[in-house]
Amino acid sequence: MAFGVQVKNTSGDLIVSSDIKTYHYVGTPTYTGVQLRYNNYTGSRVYRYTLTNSETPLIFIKPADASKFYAVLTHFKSGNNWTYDVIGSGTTDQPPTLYAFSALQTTSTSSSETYGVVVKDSSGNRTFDSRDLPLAVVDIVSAIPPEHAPDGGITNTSNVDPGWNECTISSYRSAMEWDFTSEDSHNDYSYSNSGHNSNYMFAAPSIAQAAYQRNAYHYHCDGCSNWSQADQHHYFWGNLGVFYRQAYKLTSTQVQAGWCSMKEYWYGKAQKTSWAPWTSECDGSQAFGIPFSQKSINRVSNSVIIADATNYV
Amino acid sequence: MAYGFKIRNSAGSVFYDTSTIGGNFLGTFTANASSNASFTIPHANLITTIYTQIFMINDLPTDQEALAHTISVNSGTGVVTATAQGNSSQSQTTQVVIFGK
Repeated sequence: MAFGVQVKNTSGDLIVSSDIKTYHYVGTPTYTGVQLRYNNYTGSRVYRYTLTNSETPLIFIKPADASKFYAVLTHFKSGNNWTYDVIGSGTTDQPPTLYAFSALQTTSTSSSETYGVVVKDSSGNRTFDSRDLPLAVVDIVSAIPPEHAPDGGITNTSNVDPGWNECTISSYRSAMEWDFTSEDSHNDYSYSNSGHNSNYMFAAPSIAQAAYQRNAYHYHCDGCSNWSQADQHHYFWGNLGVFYRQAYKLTSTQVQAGWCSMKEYWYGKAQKTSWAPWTSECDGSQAFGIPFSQKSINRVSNSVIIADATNYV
Repeated sequence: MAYGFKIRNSAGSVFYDTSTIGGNFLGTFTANASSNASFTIPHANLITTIYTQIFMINDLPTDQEALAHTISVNSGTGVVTATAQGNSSQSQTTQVVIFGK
């Protein structure tokens, strides 16, 4: 470098540079409510937050419950307005607190402090300003969830025969069940936790998605083997699918990369037909609709950034 | 600490210490849907390990097979490349955030 500032740590790694726009604290996105509640299996909630920022922020989650999995599900952008949906596991509303960081957007601080460290680039723009609370990273780990989200493993998609239950859809469904819970499906990674406290937070988006399904079919005929009785055919077709998104749990010693079940797909149709001019059926009005199944997508090692929210409260 | 600096908050507590900091932001870039993109990290020779984090912008959460870009890192040159995946209805705009330590 011909000019500017470089700060290295004791290992010689670059920490601060006038050529790099360090992330600084922007604020706490505003919580606006629950967008989705899913109460089957492990269950989940989707919480919505909003933030206005001209740069693309990095969002940290401070869990509301350390036993739950969380992740930023979606980043919607319209101009400088950002909307975040955050998924959390469980069947109760426990919205986490979010913290946003991005590059400095102004040429001067709004802080009244007159001391500290400011680093500027060759254009005079601030790249680091101690008065605007630079992001202090505790640790970074690369994490990837297990290939299959259900605790029961990849589902068997062979048709199960649920028997004939007239229009009692719940009876068909019970025969198609699987261990679709996901509390135990996670990979664990240790991190530098010497200063761990309840304000630890992490930045980790939900990229990976997964969907798994069960299928059912039933047929029997009353009267087909009895010449004196009218033939009556009984059919049932069914599909049950569960959709998952990647999520993380931050314990005092580990980052756990796992899954949250967030939605299910169902199709069930029971039908009776006869030679006589009548047919009856129930349900089956909706398409199954699952976007894919029996696999996870976008499942790659992604970085989990860990920091201490105490510094930004 | 032999060198570097510490920053204290208004209460006098150290919250930024270059001798213990666990990582540092290096850059970010956006890879638009169905397009490849790349970014060169400044001073990559001073970074021991490069980490990337990706997330999708404006994707729908459940109703499509949404594919993020795949990321490759050339630690020698410091070039991070994002390669689009899938067809036009699957490929999503991906934000790439780069950290090092």
